[in-house]
Amino acid sequence: MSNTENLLDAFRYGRGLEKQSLKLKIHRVFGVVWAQMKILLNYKMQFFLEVIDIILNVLIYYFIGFLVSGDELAKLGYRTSYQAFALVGIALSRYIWTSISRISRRMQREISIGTFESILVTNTSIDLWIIGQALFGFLWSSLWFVGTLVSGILIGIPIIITVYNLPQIIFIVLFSVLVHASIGILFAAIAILYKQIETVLFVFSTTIEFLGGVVYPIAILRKYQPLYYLSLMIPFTHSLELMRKVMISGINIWDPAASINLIALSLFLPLVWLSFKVLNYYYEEARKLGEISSY
Amino acid sequence: MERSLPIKLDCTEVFRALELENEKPPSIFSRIYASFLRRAKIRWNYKVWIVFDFASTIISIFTYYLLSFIVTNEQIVFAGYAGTYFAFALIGVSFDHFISASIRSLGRTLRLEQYYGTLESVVSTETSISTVFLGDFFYYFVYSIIFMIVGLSLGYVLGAGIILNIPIILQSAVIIILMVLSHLPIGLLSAAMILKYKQGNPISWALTWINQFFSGAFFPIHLMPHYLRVISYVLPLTFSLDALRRVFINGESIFSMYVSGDILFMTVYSLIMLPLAFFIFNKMYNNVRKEGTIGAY
Repeated sequence: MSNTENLLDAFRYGRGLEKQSLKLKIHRVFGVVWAQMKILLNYKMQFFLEVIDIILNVLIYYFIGFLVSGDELAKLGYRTSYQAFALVGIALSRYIWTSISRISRRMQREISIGTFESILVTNTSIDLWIIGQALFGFLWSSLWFVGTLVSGILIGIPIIITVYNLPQIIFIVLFSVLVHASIGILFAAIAILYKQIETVLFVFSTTIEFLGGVVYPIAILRKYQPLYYLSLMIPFTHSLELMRKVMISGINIWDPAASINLIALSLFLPLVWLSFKVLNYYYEEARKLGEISSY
Repeated sequence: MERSLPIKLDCTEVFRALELENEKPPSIFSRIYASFLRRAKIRWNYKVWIVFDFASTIISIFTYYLLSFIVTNEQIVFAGYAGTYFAFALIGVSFDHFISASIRSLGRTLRLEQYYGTLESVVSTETSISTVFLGDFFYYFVYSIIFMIVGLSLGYVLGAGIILNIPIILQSAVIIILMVLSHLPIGLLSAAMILKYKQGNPISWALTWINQFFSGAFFPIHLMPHYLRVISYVLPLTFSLDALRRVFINGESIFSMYVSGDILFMTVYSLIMLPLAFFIFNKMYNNVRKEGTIGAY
């Protein structure tokens, strides 16, 4: 074993990560969530601007909806108003985007202001920090998801939310976030070593929105077969289709028409395990190279 | 093989020329040119960012192209444009960078200089801050022109049905210049706020967004209720986009009734607002200089 490895092991042992009880771990995860909440409350203007952003996004597609032909939309499998179609797309894409970008953005921020190394030398492991960040991201984006849907409902966009399908909607959201958080962790892992990934994240989200059919039905892509198959290969497409089937068409999640998307989404679950493996790999590499705090 | 820039980016010649002209101070044009080159060199270091910026606009154009398959053209025709929704949206997307260049570039430059602590060094040189701004702004203007060319060409290839010929391009140049001039006051006011309050420019970002929403960048404004449309009619972008759409989609001349009306509005707006915005900016600039907080972050 190299001297570096010995040194790292000594530090690891000294930090006593193996001895932490579950209660302590949960306490630390909530500590991370609480810290983020306090930071957020300092940026009231940012909060206000995000509210404006949501309202304008909903309104843009509300007005575009007046241009869309209901017959054309029905031919592509959506017997609903375009406004409802787009509202679900915007709400879910924002949700997923937040869960993907949250961790890596936060990590990049901590690295750039020089506090990431300080976090890592505390008794809290990187995994707990990541889980705390993901949990905060989940709570925060849940508010936006609900806010977007409520804005839509208030201006009269017809979406189906009943006592019967509400648990199904919550299940789809949780399941989608779990799958997509793994992509977020992968980006965070890359951010540890390669630092500047903001632009990559931006293009990734734009591509996902484009291929996932946020504002148009992906059935249109059948005219361009490679793009269509590419769109079927990303988890977001299936999350969105599933959500639209439940919230617009009122289909049960266990109905064969919807469960096919659920099965497709499940195929991406191994990514969660893989993402933590990749994160730990990059983290150890960066520690060995001493580049955790370099920006 | 090392890639080279399409434009010559060697500032040394310019600065050497400035040094040699000891007896005669360098002209304002060489100073603006030097500032332009400086910004271009800085931005050119972020090649990946530039590629992704273009990729994002291209994806956006494809999104509207696909959306247009389910859109009917009745409302577009009702709004006065003899084309498809794709052509309508294409104009909004292709000219989008001119708006952000006018509204956000000055604030962005100022904020970056504040952040890196170089603002004080810049203003303590012989070159005035307006000259530095002008050079920077010229860079963003050229960058927006490239975006416009890429956007319109892509739309043309995808069958947007826009008219592209020399008379149309020359006439659109007049509209673009007026569009930029009429949006500069918002950019100047935003930069003044940044000078004073040392905050990033989320407000200019929000203004860009709100401006695009109410001006019909994505949908014809007649779809909005009349109480919201009132806001549209005081925004210069409404008139800029209408003029550009009428020229590129309908092939109307800048002397036609509607386009000349749009041009008149933008001209009057610029004549009133630009001096006012310059006055406020200068006042704010002199205030922070007197307070000695120009370099504070």
